[in-house]
Amino acid sequence: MAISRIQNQTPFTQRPNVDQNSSNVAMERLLPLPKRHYRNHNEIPDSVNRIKPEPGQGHLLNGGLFASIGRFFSNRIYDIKSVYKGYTGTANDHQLGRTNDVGLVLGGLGIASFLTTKRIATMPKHMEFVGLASFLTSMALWPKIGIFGPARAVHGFDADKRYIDDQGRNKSVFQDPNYVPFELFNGKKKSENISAIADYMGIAKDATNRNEMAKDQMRKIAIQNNTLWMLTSGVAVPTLTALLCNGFERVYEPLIVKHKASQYNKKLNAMYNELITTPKENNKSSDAAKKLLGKIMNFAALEDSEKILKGEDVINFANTVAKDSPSGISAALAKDITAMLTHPDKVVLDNKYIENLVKNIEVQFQGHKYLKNAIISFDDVLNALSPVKPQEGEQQKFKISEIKAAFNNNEPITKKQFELLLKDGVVVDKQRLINAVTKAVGQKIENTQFTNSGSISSETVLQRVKQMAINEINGNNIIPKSEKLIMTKDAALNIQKMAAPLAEYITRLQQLREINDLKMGNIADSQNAFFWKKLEKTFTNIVFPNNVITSKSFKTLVDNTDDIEKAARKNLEKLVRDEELYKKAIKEIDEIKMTYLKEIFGSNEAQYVQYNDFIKGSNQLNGVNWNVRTYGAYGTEIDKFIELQTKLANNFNTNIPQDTPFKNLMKVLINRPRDNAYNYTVAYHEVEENVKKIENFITACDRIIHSMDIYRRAHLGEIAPDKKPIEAEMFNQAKHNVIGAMSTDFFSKFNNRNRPLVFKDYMNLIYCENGYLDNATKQALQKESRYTVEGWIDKTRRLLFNDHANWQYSEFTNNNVFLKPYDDALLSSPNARFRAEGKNPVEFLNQGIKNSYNSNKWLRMFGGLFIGVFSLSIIAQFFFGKKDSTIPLEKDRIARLKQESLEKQNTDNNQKDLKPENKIEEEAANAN
Amino acid sequence: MIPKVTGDTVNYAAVRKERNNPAQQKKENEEPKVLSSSIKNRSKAGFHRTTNAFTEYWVKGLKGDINSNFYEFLAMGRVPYILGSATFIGVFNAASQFFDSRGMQQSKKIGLKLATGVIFYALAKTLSKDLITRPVSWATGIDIEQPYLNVVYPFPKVITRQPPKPNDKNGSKAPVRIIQDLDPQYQYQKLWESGEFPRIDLVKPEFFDKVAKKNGLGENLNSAESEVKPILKNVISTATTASRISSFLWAACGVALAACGNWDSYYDTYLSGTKLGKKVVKKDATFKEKMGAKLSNIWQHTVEGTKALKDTFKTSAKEFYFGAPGSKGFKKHAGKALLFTAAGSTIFGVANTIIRARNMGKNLCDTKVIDDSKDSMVM
Repeated sequence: MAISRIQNQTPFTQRPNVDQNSSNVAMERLLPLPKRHYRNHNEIPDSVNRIKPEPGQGHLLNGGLFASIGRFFSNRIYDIKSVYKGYTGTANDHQLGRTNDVGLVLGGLGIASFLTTKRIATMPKHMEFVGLASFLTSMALWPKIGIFGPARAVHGFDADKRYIDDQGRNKSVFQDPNYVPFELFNGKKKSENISAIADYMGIAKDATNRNEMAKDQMRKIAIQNNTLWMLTSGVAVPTLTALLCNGFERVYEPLIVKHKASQYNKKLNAMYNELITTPKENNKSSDAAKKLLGKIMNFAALEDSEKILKGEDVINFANTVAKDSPSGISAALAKDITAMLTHPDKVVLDNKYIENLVKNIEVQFQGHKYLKNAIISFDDVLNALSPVKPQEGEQQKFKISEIKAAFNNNEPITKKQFELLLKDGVVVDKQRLINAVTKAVGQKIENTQFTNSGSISSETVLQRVKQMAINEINGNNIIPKSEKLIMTKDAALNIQKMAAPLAEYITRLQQLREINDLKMGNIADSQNAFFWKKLEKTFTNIVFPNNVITSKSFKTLVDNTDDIEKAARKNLEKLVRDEELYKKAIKEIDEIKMTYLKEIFGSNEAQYVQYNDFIKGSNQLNGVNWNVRTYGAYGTEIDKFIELQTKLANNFNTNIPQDTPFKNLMKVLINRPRDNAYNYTVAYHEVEENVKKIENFITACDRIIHSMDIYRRAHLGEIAPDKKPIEAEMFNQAKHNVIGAMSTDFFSKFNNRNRPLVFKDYMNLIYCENGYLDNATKQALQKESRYTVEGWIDKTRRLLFNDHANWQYSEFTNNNVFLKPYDDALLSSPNARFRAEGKNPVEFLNQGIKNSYNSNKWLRMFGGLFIGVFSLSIIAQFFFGKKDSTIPLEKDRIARLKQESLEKQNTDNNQKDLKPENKIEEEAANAN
Repeated sequence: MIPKVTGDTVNYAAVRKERNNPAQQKKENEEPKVLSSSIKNRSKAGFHRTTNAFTEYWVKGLKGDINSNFYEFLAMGRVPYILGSATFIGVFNAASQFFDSRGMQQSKKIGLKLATGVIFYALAKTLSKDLITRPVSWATGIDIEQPYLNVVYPFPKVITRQPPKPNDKNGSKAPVRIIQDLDPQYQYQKLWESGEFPRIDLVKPEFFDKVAKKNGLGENLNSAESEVKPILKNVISTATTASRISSFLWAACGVALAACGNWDSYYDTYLSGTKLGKKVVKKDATFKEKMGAKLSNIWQHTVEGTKALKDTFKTSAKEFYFGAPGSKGFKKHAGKALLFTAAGSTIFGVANTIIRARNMGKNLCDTKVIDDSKDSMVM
């Protein structure tokens, strides 16, 4: 047995050196055997014992969940050992085969880790690894559920059977059809009993070579199934992976949102404790701040002489310092530093600068009668700046500091030295440059011959032309502005003074923003985004319940707001007829709204009251003019947030000297009264954004509830005994407006701008003062929620229809009464209007339809593909293992037996039947 | 596995006739042939395996043919990869028609991104193997990618023919079974695929002398084969492991590269042909002018496409190595880390293989009892 177990998993079907191997084994046997062979013997064994092989250790593996889980882990350990053995050069072929799987997993981990860097939200990041795990699971799962499971059911044996060979290696029995260890089917269990399998296959019990027939059948079926596995995996594994990921995502998303929200509270509280509850005296800057500080110090490194910087150096510096912090900081910083480094009396000379200078002179002097002869060249400027001495002669100095010193002392330098100097640029007094240019131009003019004109002598002409040139040089922008900046000691000191508080402040702001993003960020798995998604889904399901949107209707509906509105209107009208259904729908929306508030503000009783106050506060019309400090008293986390930002801003403020040159930066960083509505200061940026986001969500919910309430009231008006036609007509219009009105419709007072009286009635019916809701709606809403809905209605009424302000005539109309669109100047911003009006429900439905259709479509597509492949592979089983005509069948044998017994019975019966007749005949004969 | 023909009539005459055919005899005498390890031969081998997997092997397999073997099963192992990639790309591209314009764009984008990833994965995985096998081959003389053309003689086919209907009612003949020899099958195998059964029978003796010399065993050995065998086994193990591990890491680099830069927009612009040349031809232009314009447009498209390919590759490589602009920490260095891991695994793999082989050669040399340079005889 042990000898015959020499086999491998390599693709060789022919092994020419098998003989050689077996002879090797034979050779080994002649050598003294290892000691263990003697351990059970007292005497030296006889030759029979010596050549008798040890009993085989190989055995088939049996399923069982726990056993297979255990094997899974031991196999992975084996894989890792295989890689180690592979690298040490001692791996056998089976182990070498395993290294491939390790490589696959390592590569997959590499891909997943890299792709996480391309994802912003946490959820997609995690999903990269979930995707890898799903892929590996699908690869293992598909053959089990799609191929070998059905095969086992149809053919009665496991074509994926695995065994442990004599060397303890885990292998598949039927992988290599030219080597199948059938001897391991020892018949101890039913699944390992060839005869039982032959029974299942229906091979005749009396067939000669019956087991061989069954083995051939098993081999054949296994080949067919292995092939089917390879053919179907390409479609089944990716689709199964997609399905697994999809299923996991649905369960995982709420968990991760919750986790992030708790992280938000934790981190915010930690920061709050650090900075406000127990502030340390010498608040040591964080690591990030230290790093930032290093950057700033490097930039403002103190040097004895001036350091030349390019304009973009400053911008780059400002961008690195203020990276990721609210917009405005880096621009302000760059502006301040640039102003600081632009010296009024000094310029930076380099090749480009002098070229510009020469060009300016050429442009200015070109068309001039006298001065056109005074155009100077590049070299003239150099000569005038510092006398250029001939190249030859004494040894040249090439140390830049020495050249600079010589240049500054007006000592002559060679041309080559000058080139070196201009390469990096050199700082020079503006006056010296002007003098030099004047000198050069003067020389040119002196070299020109001026003819006497009238009474004026040529000498006087010369003087006048010279004066003319000087005037030109001083007045006409001939001296260009220096593009490069000069870092002086003073500027460096100023930047350094600023460095520590700035670094600390920017780092803290950044931290605060990161904390805020956990809950309110504009990313897929923040709590805010999650609730929007939930609201969208719920509302779409209320209006279009139970997959009403088919592929066909989707095509006509999507992006066609008119059709969506029609369909939504029809469905809503149907919904409000049933009070219970209507209440249920309102409750669903209400639940989302109130959970949102609780989650955002915190969950204890005191906070609950606070957010209620918050909402009431936001109902003030002037609440749109967000003065964040108004809300300082409300909320808990938001409260802390504001306090932290104030604290940081104050810290920064006190650490910066009052006469700082960073004027622009201070404007941006320190909270101070806004210049106008659009210019936010950075300090409260996040809080402002958050408050807006909260109001966005609440008004969206309120508008939906109000819309449904209008539909309900319209229905009640219709069925009321004293039906009012005018009211019905108004409700009819309102049905469109509440769900379909865009911002422009609000702007035009729903096309009622020139019908003030109609509009007044309309407003009194639809947007009542202090809010009016139907009883059913009131009952369905929670108390606090009712206040906000009523508040919203009231607010919208006042927004659209203000007795004091809006009943004015529009300026450009003399004869007609036109209502002013909005009284409040702040509402001219589209975002502010959106916040006040709430999200258009039809738009909402459009998005909801799209999303639900898309995700369902993907699911259907992948699900369909998978089910298709799955059914195909099951059907295929019934075509597999067709028996050769030479195989005798059990059913034929039974039929034959039956036939035989029937025949036998018949003959017996005949004999029996014959007997009485004979008897009768005999009797008859006897009687005769 | 021998066809069961007992009890039936076998048309031995036909078999004999067939086997005496000179062409058939020539076929039967074919031997496995070692091929040079050129790129041409290796791609030929890959092509042969892939095409046969898609045309012949799966048909045999589904029939449960007795000649369907493990080589064919392994060759079919690449079917899922190709079919799976094609399925996914196909689904994302085909699905785009079900969605609205934005969804369609997104779907196409995903499809194109996937396509790029698949192409880069396959390219990186295949090409990176040479980073291990070439240096190892130069240093040790053993090329684990060395292919050979194996010849396999399949089991003959048994054809059962029903006898013609007997004219007389007295006797009926059993069906005739004819054994038909099948043409030999060719398999592209690798000489050193197996460490336990290396095909040393196929290589010439010079091979062992070369390997012995390269690994410091000396020259003119009496039994180079037996001395080289342990080194061969060692190199097969180390080099194979190294190439398996590192090729997947390089493949990961390929996918990462495809995830950087704007590959989808590159494909969208240049493969869908939306950005063909701009030369417009008047309606009344002659055929020559039209063709000229068309050719110039195609040429322009090709030139621009190639340039854009170069640029896209450059930006994507930059983003891969330096991180996306504005990124920091892990995000910034992930690409670098992946690249260095792959490169490190390659360098380690090659060095490990070569040093181990050399050390083995040295050790074998040092512990040698019999002087190979002299004739000796073991009594």
